[in-house]
Amino acid sequence: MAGAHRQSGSVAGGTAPPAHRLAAPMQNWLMLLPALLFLVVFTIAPTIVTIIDSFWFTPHGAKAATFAGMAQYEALLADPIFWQALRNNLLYAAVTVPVSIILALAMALWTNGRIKGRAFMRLAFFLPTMLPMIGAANIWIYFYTADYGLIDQIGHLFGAGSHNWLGNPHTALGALMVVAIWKEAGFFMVFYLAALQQIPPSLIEAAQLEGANAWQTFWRVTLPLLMPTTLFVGVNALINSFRVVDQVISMTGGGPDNATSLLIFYVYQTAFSFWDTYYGATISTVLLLGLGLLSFLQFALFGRRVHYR
Amino acid sequence: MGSVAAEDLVKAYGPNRVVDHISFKVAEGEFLVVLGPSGCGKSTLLRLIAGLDDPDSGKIRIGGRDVTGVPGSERGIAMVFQSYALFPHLNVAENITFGLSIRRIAAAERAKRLKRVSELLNLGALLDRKPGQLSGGQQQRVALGRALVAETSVCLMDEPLSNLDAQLRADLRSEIRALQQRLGITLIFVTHDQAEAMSMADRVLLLRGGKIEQLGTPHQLYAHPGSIFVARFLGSPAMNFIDLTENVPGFEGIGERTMTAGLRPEDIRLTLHENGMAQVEASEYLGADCLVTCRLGENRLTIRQNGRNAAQIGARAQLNFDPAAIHLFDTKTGQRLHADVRNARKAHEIIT
Repeated sequence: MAGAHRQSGSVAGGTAPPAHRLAAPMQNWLMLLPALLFLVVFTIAPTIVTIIDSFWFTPHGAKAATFAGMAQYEALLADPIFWQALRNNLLYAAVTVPVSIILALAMALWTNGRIKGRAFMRLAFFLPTMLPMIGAANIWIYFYTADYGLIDQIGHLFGAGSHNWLGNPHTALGALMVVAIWKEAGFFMVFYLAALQQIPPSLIEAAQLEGANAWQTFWRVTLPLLMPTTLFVGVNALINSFRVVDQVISMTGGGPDNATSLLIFYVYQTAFSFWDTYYGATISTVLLLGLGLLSFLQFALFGRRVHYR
Repeated sequence: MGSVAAEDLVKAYGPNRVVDHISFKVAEGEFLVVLGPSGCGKSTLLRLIAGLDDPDSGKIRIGGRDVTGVPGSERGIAMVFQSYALFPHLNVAENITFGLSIRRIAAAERAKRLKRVSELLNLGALLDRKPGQLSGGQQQRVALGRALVAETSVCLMDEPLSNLDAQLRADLRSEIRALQQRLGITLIFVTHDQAEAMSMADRVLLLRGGKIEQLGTPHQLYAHPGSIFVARFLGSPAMNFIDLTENVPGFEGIGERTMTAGLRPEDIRLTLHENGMAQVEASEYLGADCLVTCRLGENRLTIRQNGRNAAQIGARAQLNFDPAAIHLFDTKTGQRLHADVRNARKAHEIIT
C-alpha cells in the first residue's frame, strides 16, 4: 500500500528508498552547518551569555558570582564615566557620520567626472582606508604632537601658538574625529562611485534637455538615485562610530580625563583592565539595545524615502 | 517656427568622421525618418540637433534661428530616448511634469497640461505609478508624454520603439504618426528599421557611413533607389541583384556588362514548367505570401508570390517579369543608371 502510494506521488522517486527522502532536510542543515556553527559560537552564544551575565555580579577569586538582578543597570545609570562615554560617542557619531558621508559623495562626484589623473585621485582618496588603524594613528599622533608635529609647525608659520591637540580635553575628541573622517570617507566614496556609474547617462541628459542645471540635476535626479547607497553607507557609518576602540587605544587611551572615552572602549576598559567583566556585559547589553533601536529607526524613517531599483 | 535645418554638419570622434558634411532641411510639421544601419551616424546626428553634442563644424537652425552652441534646453525641442530615460524615483505624473516644474510653470498650468497629455496618451490610470511598475509600452507612452507636455514644435526621437515587441511596435507606429499629424509637430525620428521608416515618414533620410545616401519620400526611395545600398536597405526581402558581367539567361540584351540589374521579389512571377531555366531551391511560407528562392545560372533570386501557390523544391520554373521593373546600377560605383539605358523589350519578358 505504502509503496503504491509513494509511486503515485513521485515519478522519479518510485524506486528510491524512503531514507533518501528523509535525508533532504538533513542535507540542507548540513550545508548550513559551517556558517551556522561560526555564527552560534562567535555571535549568538556570546550575545546570549553577555545578556545573562549582565544580571550578575562579577565573581572575585574564590567568591562565586551572585545574582544582581537590576543592580548592575542601576549602577550604570549612576556611573558618570558611562554617561561621559555615551555623550562622547553621540558627539563622535553626530559629527563623523554626516561629514564623512558628505565628503565621500563629494569625492565620488569629483572623481566620477572627466578629470585628469582620475585613477590617481581615486587611489589617493581610498588610501587611508587601506592603512591599518595602528599605522594611521601613529601618523596622526606625529601630526598632532605639540610644537614638533606637522600641524603645529604649519601653525607656527602663521604665528599660532603651541597646541597639545591630543592632550587637551577640549581638542582631543575633535582630533580623533578628524582621523575617523579621513579614514572612512574614502571607503564610502567607493560605494558612491559604484552607484554613480549605475545611473544611465541618458537620465542626466534628459534632465538637462528639460532645462535642469547641474545643481537641479544633482538634487532632483542624482541624489534621489543614490539614496539606497546613502542608507547603506549611513547605517554602516553609524555602527562603525559606535564600534571604535582601536583608534582610542592607539591614540589617547581614553584620556585625558576620559575626554576621548567611547562606549566600546569603556566596555573594554571595564572588562579587561578593571576585570569587572559582568559590569562590562551590562554596558554591552545597553549598547546593543541602543544600536539595534537606532538601526531600526534609520531603516524605518529613512528607508521609506529610498527608491530601490 | 518648427523647421529644422542642418548645414554642412561634421562630427568626428578621433579619426572617425561619424557625421560627414550633412545638410538637409525639415519643413514645419514634417515627419522625417533618419534611417541607416548601426554605426551610420544617425544617433549622433540627432544628438547634434538636440544639443547633447556639439558639431565640429557646420550649423543647426531651428525655426530659422541659428542654435549651434545653444544648450539643448533652450532650443525649443523635446526628445524621446531609446531607453525612455524615465526618472525611476518619480511617478508618471512627476516624470511628465519634470521639465515644467524645472521651468517654474505655475501649478495650475502644469495640472492642465498633464491632464491634456494623459488623456491624449491614455495615461490617466497610471499617473501614480513608478516607471518600474509599468510595461515597456506604457513606459514608452510616458516618455512620449514627457516630450509632448513641453508643447515644443520640434520633437526628436531616438529609436523609441526598438525595445518593444513586434505587435506593440506596430501599434505605436501608427499612434505616433497620428499624434504627429494631429498636433502638427515637426518630428525627426531615428531608426534602423526600414519598415518603420516606410510606414511613418513623410520623407526618409538614409545615412551611410556618416553621409546622406538618399533623401526622399518612402516611395521615391523604394521605387527609384539611388544606389544599390538604398535598394538593398529598403524592402523585405531585399531586392534581387544580377551581375550582368556574366551572361545570365533571360537577361541578354539588358543593360551592359558593367552593370548590375535589380529586381524586386514582387516584380517576378514564377510559373512551374518542366523546361524552365530556373530551379526552385527553397520555399518559405509566410501565410499571405510565400518566398520562393530560385537558382538561375549562377544567381539566386527571391520571388514573392501568393501563399497559396506552394512550389516543390527542385521543381523547374519559368520566371516572368516586366522589363520596366528592372533597376540598373553601375556595378563599380553602385549608383543608379537612368531608365533609358535599359534596352526596351517587350512587356512580359519570359525566361526559359
